[in-house]
Amino acid sequence: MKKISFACLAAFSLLAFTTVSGGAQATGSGPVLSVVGDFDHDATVDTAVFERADLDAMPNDSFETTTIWTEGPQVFSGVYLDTLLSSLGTFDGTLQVVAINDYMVSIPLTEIAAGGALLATRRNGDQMSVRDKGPFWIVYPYDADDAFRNEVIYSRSVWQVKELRITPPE
Amino acid sequence: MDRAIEAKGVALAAILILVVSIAVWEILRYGTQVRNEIEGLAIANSDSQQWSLAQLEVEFDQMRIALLQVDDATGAGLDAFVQRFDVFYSRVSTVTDGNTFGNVRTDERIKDQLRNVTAFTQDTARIVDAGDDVLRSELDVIEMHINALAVDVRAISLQGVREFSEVAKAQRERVYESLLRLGVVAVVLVSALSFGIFGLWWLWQFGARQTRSLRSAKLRLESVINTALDAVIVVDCEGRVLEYNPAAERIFGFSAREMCGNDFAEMIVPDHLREGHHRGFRRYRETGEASLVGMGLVQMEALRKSGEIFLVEMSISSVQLGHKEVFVSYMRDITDRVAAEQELISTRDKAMESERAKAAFVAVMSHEMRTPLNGLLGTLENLKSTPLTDHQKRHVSTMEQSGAILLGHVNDVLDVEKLESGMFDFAHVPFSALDLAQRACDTIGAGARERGNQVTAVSEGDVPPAVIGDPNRILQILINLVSNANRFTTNGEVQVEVEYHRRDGELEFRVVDTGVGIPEADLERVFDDFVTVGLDHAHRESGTGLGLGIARRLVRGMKGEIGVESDVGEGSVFWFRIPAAAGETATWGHAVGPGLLRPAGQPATSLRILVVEDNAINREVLTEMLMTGGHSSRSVVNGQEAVELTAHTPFDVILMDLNMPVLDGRLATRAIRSSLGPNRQTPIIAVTANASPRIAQELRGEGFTDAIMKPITLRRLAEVLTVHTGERIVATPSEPCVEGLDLSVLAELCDILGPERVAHTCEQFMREGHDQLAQLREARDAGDVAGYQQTAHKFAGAAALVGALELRTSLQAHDANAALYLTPPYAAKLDQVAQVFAQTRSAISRYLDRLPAA
Repeated sequence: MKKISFACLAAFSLLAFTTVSGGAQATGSGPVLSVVGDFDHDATVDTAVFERADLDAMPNDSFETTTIWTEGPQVFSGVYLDTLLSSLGTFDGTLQVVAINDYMVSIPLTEIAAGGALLATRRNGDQMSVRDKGPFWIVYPYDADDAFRNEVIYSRSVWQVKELRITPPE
Repeated sequence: MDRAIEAKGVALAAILILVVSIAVWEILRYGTQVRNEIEGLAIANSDSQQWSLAQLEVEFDQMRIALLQVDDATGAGLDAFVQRFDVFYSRVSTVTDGNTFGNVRTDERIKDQLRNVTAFTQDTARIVDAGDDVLRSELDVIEMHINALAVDVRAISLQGVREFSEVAKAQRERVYESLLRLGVVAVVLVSALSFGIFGLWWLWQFGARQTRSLRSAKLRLESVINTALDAVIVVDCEGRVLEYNPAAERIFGFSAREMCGNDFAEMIVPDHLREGHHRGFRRYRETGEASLVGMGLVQMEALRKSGEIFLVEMSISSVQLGHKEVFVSYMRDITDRVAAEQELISTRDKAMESERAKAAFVAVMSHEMRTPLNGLLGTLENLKSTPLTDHQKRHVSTMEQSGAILLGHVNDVLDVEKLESGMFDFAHVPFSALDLAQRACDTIGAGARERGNQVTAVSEGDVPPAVIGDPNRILQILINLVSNANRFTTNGEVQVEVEYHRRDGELEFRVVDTGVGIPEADLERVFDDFVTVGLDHAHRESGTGLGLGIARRLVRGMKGEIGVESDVGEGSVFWFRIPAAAGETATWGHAVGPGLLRPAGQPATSLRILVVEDNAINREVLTEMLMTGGHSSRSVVNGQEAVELTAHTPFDVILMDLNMPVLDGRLATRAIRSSLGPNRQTPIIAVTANASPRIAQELRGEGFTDAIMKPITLRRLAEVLTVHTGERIVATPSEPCVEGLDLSVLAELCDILGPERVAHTCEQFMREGHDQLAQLREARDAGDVAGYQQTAHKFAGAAALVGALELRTSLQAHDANAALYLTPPYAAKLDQVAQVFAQTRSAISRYLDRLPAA
């Protein structure tokens, strides 16, 4: 967030905040997810904004797993990060995930694959509020593989996601 | 291989394998454990949990800041606060609901704080959810709660840090411990492996050494086998050849390539032995019963590649190699050796055969010479009893001396022959040793006087009155030694010393002379046959050189010792000693009288003598001889008549011919001995044409007292009668005489019978001889062996009577070899007999012509 100084970005952030704050009241303008990156490879930064409906319209997947943060098995459903990013083009570099509480983590794009990171929009069939780690939560099928049960993956399991930034390799 | 080392190696390897296995197992176990721990560290969520707990405080503070920034008047910043609250809310529920916060959540120390926080979020949420207005009005309350809550949030956060650092510490310790164990096990494993490697190295070294020494041993063994002169064949228990050396190739002709792997029995065992060989091999395999294995050297036939069968000497041993048994056989081709042995044996046999033949020839010859000599000497004796001129008496005396010397020589040769053939019997009778010595001196007396020598006998120390031994033989030795001493001594002394060594039971005689002595170089040779030492020609002529040889043989025959010591110019000492037990009374010396060549006297007693003889001439001669001796005689013509006559008429002596019709001499003698008649114990003298010592002994065994050989001389007859009756019966004035050939026997006959009757006898012999020759021819042509033999025997007897010795010898050969001489190749032998007979006849005729007219 600190590194990005574009005005528009600041505006979107503000918008996002605004949107989120009113999410519980179902204002019609639900929570949004901003994706920032040079989608058309023209050396300028582009921004895409996804509303919950946009995401629901994309190919959705779901799996059941336990997590270290919840009790009992949970069913998560949403869009794989891979699927989401593919809809915007092909990229090299890393994906920075930013949460509402300003938590940020970098994931190499090469490590994002189908069957891995899922941008969950629902838990156990319900939309998630901010109190409930919503509106978007990146989860992995932890039970499916040992490889998903380590600190790196846990650190990449970001809840309350508000923005994805695609940064090219340096 | 050394079993102990092998066992040690096995034990070592087992221990090593055990240690390594345990180490590997432990490493796997601790490795898994460490992996689990590390995995646990990876899975462990302590980082994110710590983060979460830290975030709890951060997000609490952010919410608190957001609240402070809310403008009470405009309500600006309210949304930001709500969002921060929601985030905090989410965090709190993560801590209270999250899977991994169990320890923190249930911790007693922060239970209250957690409850307070949860209560705050629940309460505040209700306010927030009630709408902005309510929220604005309650902001003060919320602020108050938040301020109060700051301490609790801090406490939870710190507790989390403590909690997770403890967990992390425990986990680190576990990992440390596992790693330590892993390290220890790894050290053990490395040690074990190092030890194992060292062990392997050592084993490898050992193996290499073993291999080297085995290889050199094998090379040595191979070179030994390859250079062996004997064939070496090693076979397994199936008979297949495993080893086959060059010597075997040379001996058998098969190459090693041909033999190896094949059944040797099919190759080198001859056909006729093969079946037996297979049987033996089978039996050995089944029962372990060996016929050849381990039996040492065995001779067998073997087969060469060329098909030649030859003899080998072999030995087989078996060796146990593991579970297999192999047989090692050594074989030597002994063809040459066997041939050499056989040649040696046949050479030896031939040599022995010829030696025997020579000995037999010498014996026969001597025998044949003695007979005419006896006749000659007998005749001379008779001649002396007739009136002679002094001139004639001298001639007779010369002849008698020469004849006596010749007889002595012949007797010497016969003695040697008898002693050599071991047929000499030594008597064991008590006799006086001193008397014997004296008699020897007496015997030489005349000769000694001629040479001016004094001959005396003395005893040294205590000589028993009698000792047991053979006086005649000892006397013979003594006479020989004394006459020798006399011969080498002139105008000196010859002394016979007698000594008895009681301690050793030995009788010793020493003949000491003061003669010329014997050079030291010749001392060892004097006892050898035909050796005459240090004598001029005149003396040499009088000896055969056998005297001392016979003396030595006699002494050895009596198990004694003989020897000589001498100084040239000083004299010699001949000594001999023989084992002899001491006796009490001498029976021999006194009975016989003072000497063998004693002066003749008239018979003290006239004996009654029975002559049993089928041959008329023999009967006549014997009767005449006995009459000359002053005895009365009766004669019968066969054994049967003799048995009948002797049953009631006592006789002093019976002269018995052996071969007679009706009942022969042997059976008659047996009958007389077993009868109860008066002649049961009368001396019976066998009269035989062929009296070898063996036959004489046989005859004694059959009851004869003695044997006398044809032709009978007065002298011999007198001797025999004297010995067996104790009477001297023949008056034989001892005066010299003679000349003679094989016709000397006739001369004696003339003496006894007178020329007239001799002429008659001779004519009868020539007539009968003619008939007997015809009979022989008939028997030969008819193939009648028994008839031939009988006629030849009879003819030989008749020939002997008239002194036709050549004819007799010839006929005796025909008698002995009748069967052979009847076969065609020898048929001509009889013609030779006829020729000899013709010569004999003309010789007899010439003799008769020279006889004074009857």
